Amino acid sequence: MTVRLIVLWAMPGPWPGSTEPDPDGFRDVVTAALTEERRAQAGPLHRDDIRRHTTASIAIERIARLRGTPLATISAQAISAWQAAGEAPLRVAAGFHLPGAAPGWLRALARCMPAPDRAATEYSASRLEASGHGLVLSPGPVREGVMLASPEVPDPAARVRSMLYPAAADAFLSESPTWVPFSGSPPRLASAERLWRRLAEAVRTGEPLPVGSAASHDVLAEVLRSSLDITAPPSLVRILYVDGSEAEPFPLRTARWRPMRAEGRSVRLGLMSMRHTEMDADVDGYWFRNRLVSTSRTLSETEAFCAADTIRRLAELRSAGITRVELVHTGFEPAVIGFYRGLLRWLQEADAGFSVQPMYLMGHVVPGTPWGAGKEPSGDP
Amino acid sequence: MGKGQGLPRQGKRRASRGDSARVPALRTGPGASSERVGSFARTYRLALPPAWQEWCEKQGWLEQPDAGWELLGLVPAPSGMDAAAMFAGMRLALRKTVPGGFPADLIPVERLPERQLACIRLDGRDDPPVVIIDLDDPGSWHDAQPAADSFSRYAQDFAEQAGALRGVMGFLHYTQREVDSGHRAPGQAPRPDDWRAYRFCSQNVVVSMLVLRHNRDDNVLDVGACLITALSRLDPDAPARAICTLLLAEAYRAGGDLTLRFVQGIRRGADRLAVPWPIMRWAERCGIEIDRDSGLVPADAARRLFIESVRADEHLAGRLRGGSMRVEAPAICYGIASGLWEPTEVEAMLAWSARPGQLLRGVTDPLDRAVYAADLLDVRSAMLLAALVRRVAAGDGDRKLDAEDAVQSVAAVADNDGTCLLRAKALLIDDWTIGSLPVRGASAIRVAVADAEPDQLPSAIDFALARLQPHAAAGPLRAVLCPRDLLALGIPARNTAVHATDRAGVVLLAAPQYTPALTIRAADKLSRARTARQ
Repeated sequence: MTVRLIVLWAMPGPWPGSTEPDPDGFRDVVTAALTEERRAQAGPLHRDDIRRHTTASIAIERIARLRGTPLATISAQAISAWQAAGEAPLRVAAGFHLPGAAPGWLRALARCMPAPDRAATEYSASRLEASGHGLVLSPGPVREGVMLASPEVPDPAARVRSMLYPAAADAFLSESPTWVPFSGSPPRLASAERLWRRLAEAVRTGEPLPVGSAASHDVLAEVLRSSLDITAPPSLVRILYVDGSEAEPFPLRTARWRPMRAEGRSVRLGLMSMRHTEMDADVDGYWFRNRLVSTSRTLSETEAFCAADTIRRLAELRSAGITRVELVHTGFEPAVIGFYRGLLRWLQEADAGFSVQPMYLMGHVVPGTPWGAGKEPSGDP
Repeated sequence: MGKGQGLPRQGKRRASRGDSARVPALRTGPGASSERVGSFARTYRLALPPAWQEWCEKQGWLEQPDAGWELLGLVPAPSGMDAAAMFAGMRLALRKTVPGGFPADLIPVERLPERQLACIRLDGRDDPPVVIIDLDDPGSWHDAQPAADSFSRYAQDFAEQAGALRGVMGFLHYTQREVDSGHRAPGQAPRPDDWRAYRFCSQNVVVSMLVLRHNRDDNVLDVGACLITALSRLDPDAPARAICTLLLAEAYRAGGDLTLRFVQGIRRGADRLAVPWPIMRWAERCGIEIDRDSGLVPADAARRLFIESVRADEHLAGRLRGGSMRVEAPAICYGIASGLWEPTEVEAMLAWSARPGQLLRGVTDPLDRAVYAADLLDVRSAMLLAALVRRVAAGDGDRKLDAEDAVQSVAAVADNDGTCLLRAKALLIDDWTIGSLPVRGASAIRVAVADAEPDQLPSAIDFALARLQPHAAAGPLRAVLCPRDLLALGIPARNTAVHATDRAGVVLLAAPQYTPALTIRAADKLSRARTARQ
């Protein structure tokens, strides 16, 4: 096994924001890399974006090796383990840290270090703070400075072990939803019952629920919705997409939505454009743009994008006086789960009522179980 | 691949929906009387094999009516032909034109395209082999290519193929009706859970026709029709191996657990079919147990079959069979099958990377540069090693475009210490060497890769030399392999590197690749690996 070494370089700059001369273009390449990071927050990165980021990073590292001061060396594996532990700071595995953030990053690393390395790392953070330098992480064939040990981080398996909800699983299995929307489709009915049992098993064992290969998107949406009707302790279910990527656990929390007075307007939307163009004339628009959703990234990343986009759009819709959406499902599981994850988050945080009426395309349009409505009464679990 | 190398049976009749609805996919004739069989044997003084005699008396003939395929016995088939008539005709027609005439130990049992015949070769066995001969090439008749090692097996394959062809044709008619009626757009690409047909060809030979879909309800890959031909000039199981690769790659891509289920057509709730014989034979050869009658290749057996079917040598297959790679093995096999990873690259990454599973699935976010940079270096090193293997395989030539262009096989075994041992008949890679140490004449070489950004190359070469140091005492020639950037460093830096390697008795090799191009290709590979299953 080859241990890949990452050298931590203290770098004087000039960093973005400073007005010092920039003879080797360091500030430019850092700005280029930051631009791609910002772009990634707004939407998917394309192959050219990734190339630009990689090229900028290589240049940053090259300049740091020329002008920087080596502080210490750590293995890439150690950073990866730190990141996987889930308690690391933002941009934990980034290739550089601006002067304002670099000491904090080093101190967070120091807190995970075994005692002998902790003091050295904290000392480096103090030096960095005093000098106003930033930090660049560059791969190198040989170590420079002190070799830091791997951070002492919790076992990722412990996270899984903490996601066992036997009481919730029992509650799910003790009640069997009626699956009214699928009463005309025996295969969907059977599929929903199977997925319901799998969901309960996943909640009980902490194993992920496979998504995309075992049930169609409408069955999946209905099963998740039905779980909110069951009186059970709040639980989380892990979501594993067919590409092997795991999304954030989906919250299964009993919902008691109140009926809402007809106070706002209603719109009829398709979930995603370009998937069922035959219904273009029957809807007011589409929730997601296919071009932004169907792009080259993992399905869990796509789901996260859809959830974030949904939260933003719901706020816009509510401020425009729209309180109800009839949503015609057009498939693609990450878009479906992302939408409902975003909806649940928004409903929990927003001080407003909103309802979504799912509509499933099953030869003809069949209404599903509605999500949301009036504000959830306080004091509910 | 030309004439005589494959077996796409001749389509003599145009299949139509009406035909399919009325006529079974396989028709059998009345059995021949024992007098008729005995008379044929006496007339030509033949010792007929018992298995074929029994088949003639029971089956008479077999016919696939859509395509007009006929397996001949001693009763005239619907075309009016039988084996005795064909045998007599061949002997008569070729008596004067071919020295020695038509061989007396061959009995024709099926007419094939391009003037080829499938014949039983009478070799004294009770159930003799079936061979394919080319009527235009009498010189090859004595060394005819085998189609099946027994007539019984050939007849089984015929029956299975007849049913599978009907399944494929039925599906194509169904799809055409869907398009004609406007229910389906003509250019609409099928989704993983839509039924779809594949025709798998190798040059001018149809190797296989398949109808399949991913079944979401049961999370399996349903195979509604599976027709596998005999490409007998190659390894007898080569077609089955290729089809297993294709089926399991489809199963992986669709997100299933790799379970295969063979069913009769595309109707919902269709009956199970037995696992096709070619796949059974390939699985048996690989030591994998499958219950043929269940019609299922379960997930565990399918995973093993995937490992055995992809283009991996025994050493690499052994790594993939190991328990630590249980989860990642299907992803890696898919990567090899889809051309994303070369087997040598996988071998190197499994041995050298600290987290090979994540690396081969490309899970690192490119913006997590500190981890991603390490991944890129792991992939680049593997790519450099694979380039060296391709160069060695090319022998004296200077290029290798495809597996078919290789002039010698190369065994690459990577060790956990960051080195790899290459073995070949002759290492003819002097065009890659820098410095004074020759490689020509050696048959093995232990390689350490020195890959880094150009300004770090001298340090990387020193580090690679340190890795090779434990192998100095004995053993094969040693080499440090680095990217072409070394030559652009300037003469002093290059000379320093050459002197260091010469002093250590190590060959310095410069691959033709430069680091910027290597980085771009490595990033593309990781990106493809990351989204392979969509």
